[in-house]
Amino acid sequence: MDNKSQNNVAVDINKGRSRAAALFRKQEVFLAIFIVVLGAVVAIVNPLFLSIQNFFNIVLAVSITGISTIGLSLVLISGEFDLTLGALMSVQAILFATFATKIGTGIAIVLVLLLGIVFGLINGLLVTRIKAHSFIITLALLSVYSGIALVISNGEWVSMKGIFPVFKGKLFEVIPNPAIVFVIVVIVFAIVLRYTKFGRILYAIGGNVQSAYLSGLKVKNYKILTFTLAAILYTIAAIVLVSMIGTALPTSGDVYMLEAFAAAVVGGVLLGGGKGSMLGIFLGIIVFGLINNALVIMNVDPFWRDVVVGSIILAAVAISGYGASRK
Amino acid sequence: MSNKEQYASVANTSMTRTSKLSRFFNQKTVLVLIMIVVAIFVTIINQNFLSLKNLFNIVSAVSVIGIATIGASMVLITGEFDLTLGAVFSVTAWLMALLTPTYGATVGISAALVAGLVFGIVTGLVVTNVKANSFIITLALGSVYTGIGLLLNRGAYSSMSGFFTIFKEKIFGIIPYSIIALLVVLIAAALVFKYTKFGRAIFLTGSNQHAAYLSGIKVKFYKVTVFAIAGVLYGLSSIVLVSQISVAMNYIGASYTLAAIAAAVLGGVVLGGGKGDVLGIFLGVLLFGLVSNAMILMNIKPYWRGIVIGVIILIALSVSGYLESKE
Repeated sequence: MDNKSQNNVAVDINKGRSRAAALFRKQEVFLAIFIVVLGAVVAIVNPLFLSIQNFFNIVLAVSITGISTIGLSLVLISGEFDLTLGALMSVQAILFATFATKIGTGIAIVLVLLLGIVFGLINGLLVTRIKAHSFIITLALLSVYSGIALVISNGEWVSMKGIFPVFKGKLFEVIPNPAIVFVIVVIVFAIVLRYTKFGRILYAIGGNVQSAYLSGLKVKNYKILTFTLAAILYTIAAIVLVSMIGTALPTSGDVYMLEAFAAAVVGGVLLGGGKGSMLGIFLGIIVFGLINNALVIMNVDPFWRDVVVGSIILAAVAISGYGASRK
Repeated sequence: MSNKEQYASVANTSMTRTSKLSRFFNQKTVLVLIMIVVAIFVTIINQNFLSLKNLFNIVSAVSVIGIATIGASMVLITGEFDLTLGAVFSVTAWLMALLTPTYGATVGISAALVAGLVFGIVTGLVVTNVKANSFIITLALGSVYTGIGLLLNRGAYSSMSGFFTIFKEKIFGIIPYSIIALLVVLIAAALVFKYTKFGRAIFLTGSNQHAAYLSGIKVKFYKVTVFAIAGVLYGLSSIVLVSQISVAMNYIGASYTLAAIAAAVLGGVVLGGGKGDVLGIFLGVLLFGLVSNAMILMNIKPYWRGIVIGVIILIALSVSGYLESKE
């Protein structure tokens, strides 16, 4: 590859990023304003909302969705879909609970993380080898992983029998441990996306896969790596979940899949790839936690939840789409 | 846009047309081969498989998802996603079961179909007017519709046992009425796809939206119409199900959303639009039914179903992708 095309690609990437950055600022500003306004309204109705305790409740409630959403976002930024999120969490939850109760938590954590890497490699290899949309490939894999979770558990739940309650606990009796894991994951991947070569390459591949390939990037390898990182994050989310609630169901993770998509997109991640910042993703996740918390604390009829959540996703994508078209 | 570009895009469309034919042949051949292998295998273990009664059972069992999949496929062919299927299905099923005992089946059926139509039109209008991926828009709308259902029924199920049981029954005690319903929808869809201006318009819209727009096709109008028809078909499929099982509750349709997309793609509908035909879709749906039936006859635990279906989808995609690349 000659220098010239390399420079062109570099320019391309930079252009993509600065254009993206301008748009993201909008999405992030919008989310921040939304969070402040909603927070103010809720605080007026119920001052308890502003307590430290409630603040940590919100972060705790989104920890598991948050960790898995960050994994999914990596895949989305690279321009692919990953529908295995929920099913993979379910398999890992069952495996972790089974291993932990039989051979100890230490080995169980290592084992499921290794298996997470294996599952991620399988996802990445199949998506990059089979000539079909990753939506349908990962949908087929979702079906396989759900099946594995059911077969291993025989359709029954697996109890942790009280062992490994660490994620039920709080640091200094204040900060819930799952929230700490979530924040660490946020910080690590904020750095990865912004300051590492891998992060830049991820945006380049998602922004324009053709030019990324032509500039000599091993696109397939990076995609496989992305799916693997995502699977590791789903695994971490599953471990935290099982420890938190003390049992694993063969469907434990299922509810997180579409929630994660919604949080990522509200946070400014573009389906199709190339766009999305960690700040946006983080705010997107917090918005969901805030809404759920606000509905509870304002004593809103729980049957309104789905309508409110759906409408807010719509509003967010409509506004960011409008902003993009105005540019 | 210059004339040259316009010609180029038209040329592109006709190119995809010709390669389409050969591709479909391949994908369908793969499906038929898989079915023959499964059928031989099952027949060796259990001769009942090949009985006329069992073959009708297989088709009857896929009539509900078959009708819904035609709706979902039409949306996919125009190049959009529709994740509202499950939510619309659940609400229309509930309406049908609620109204039929008091006001009669005509009112129940009308209400279900009209509700499906209204949901479909709303979905179409939002998708064509909000600048965002229809995956996320219909995900949000699905949440809103589910919420509307919950607000209406407050989480309660509705039952119409003894009323409108026609889709449980069989003509001359042999051919289930549910198969007739499925066949009517399949034939109507095949005729519309092949012989109407509407059919040609939706395929052109899906394969090259820009060219379709430039050649004077009212892209938005056709998209809204397709979502509306899909909504009616979701309503119709829910009527068949409720007639068979007599009860309806929230989330009754939830599992159909992704299953319909999987069946459609298995049958040769391409995510991204422009490709698909009714015979392929029917084969895709039928394969699902065949596998479920085979597993029952072979006494395999239902937990394995997801794994088997997932692996079959992956095999079919790999083979047809491979055949396509050889061309």
